[in-house]
Amino acid sequence: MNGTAPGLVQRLQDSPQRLADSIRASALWLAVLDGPLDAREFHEVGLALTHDPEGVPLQEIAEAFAADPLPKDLPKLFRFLRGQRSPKRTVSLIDLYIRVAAADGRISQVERHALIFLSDLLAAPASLLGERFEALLGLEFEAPADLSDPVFFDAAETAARARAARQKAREADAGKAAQADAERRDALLVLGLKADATPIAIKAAWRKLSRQHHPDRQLQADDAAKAAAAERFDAVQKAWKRLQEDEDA
Amino acid sequence: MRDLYERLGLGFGADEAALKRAIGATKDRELAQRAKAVLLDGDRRAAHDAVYLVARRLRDWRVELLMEDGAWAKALADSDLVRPDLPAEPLATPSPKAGAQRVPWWRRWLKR
Repeated sequence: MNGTAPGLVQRLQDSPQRLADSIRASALWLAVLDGPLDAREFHEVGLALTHDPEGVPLQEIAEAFAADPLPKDLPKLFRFLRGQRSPKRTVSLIDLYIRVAAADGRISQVERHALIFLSDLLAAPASLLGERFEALLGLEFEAPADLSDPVFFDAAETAARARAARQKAREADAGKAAQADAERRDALLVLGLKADATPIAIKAAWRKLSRQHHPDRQLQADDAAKAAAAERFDAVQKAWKRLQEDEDA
Repeated sequence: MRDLYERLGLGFGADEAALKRAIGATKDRELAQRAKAVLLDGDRRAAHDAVYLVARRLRDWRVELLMEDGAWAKALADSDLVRPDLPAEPLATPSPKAGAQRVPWWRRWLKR
C-alpha cells in the first residue's frame, strides 16, 4: 500500500470542507480505477464542485489515488459519505459518478462494478442508477460482463482478429484506406455525429434514431412517411454496423 | 460471477503451479474448463485479474460498510460484490422504534 493515501484520507477527514472534499475524492477514485486519470475525467470533477482554496486540492487527491487506487482505509471516506444521505444529493452524486465514468468515452467493466458499489453506498433505490444513466447518456446501464467466462474472451478475440485483418488490408492498399475513412465519416453523418464521436455517443445516437424511426412507431403515419422512416431506419442500422466494425461503438 | 481463484479455493493471483493443481483437483468440470481457458492464458488472466481485484475489494468494503441490506443486495446476490456467507436475500430493515437499538447484521444472521 502506498504511503500517500492514508495521509490523504486523514487530511480529508480533517478538512474544513469535509463533505465537498470527500465527494471530490470519491469521484477521482472512480476516475483512476480503470487506468491513469484522463484530463476529461479531471475536468468533470472540477466542474462539479467549485474549487475552494481551503479544501484539499484536486491535483493532490488525484495523485494519491493514481499511486494507489485501492488504499485499505478508503472505506473510512465512504463511511462518511454514506452518512450524508439526502435524496437530492444522492441524485447529484450519481450524476457526477456517471459523468466521470463516461468522460473518456467508454464505460469499463471496473467502472460498472464501481458505479453499482457507489449507488449502493448512497443507499439509492435499485432503479435510480439505471434511470440517471439513461437520462445522462441515453443508454441502458448494463451489468458488468462475466470475465470468468471464456465465451467473453472468445468473442472479444474474434472481433479483434477481424479488426486487425481489416486494418492490414487497408494499410496494404491506400485506396481502400481512403474508402474506409469516407465510409466511417458517412456513417457518423447518418447518426448526426462529428468525426471525433466517442463510443458512448455513437451508441446513444444509434439507439435514439432507431427508436425514432422504428417501423412499429409509425402506426399513425401515412404511407409516404412510413416509407421514409423505414429507409432512414435501414440507413441508421447500416451506419451502426459499419461503425461497430471499427469498434467505435 | 465470482472470481475463478475464489471458486478454486485459491488466493487471488495464485501461481501457475497452484492453479494447475487446483484445476486437477476440482470435481466441477465446468469450473476446471473455465479456469483452464481463462487463467492459463496470460492476456485473459491479466484482464480477469484487473477487473476482479477491484470487484473483490469493493465486495470487502461493502461488507465492511455493512451494506448488506442495501438496495442492490438482491440483484447482486450472485455477483462479486456480495460475500458467499451472506444471505442471498436482502435482510429486512427493521422499522425504527423509539429507543430501540439496531441489531447488527451478523447477530441477525446467526439467529436464522
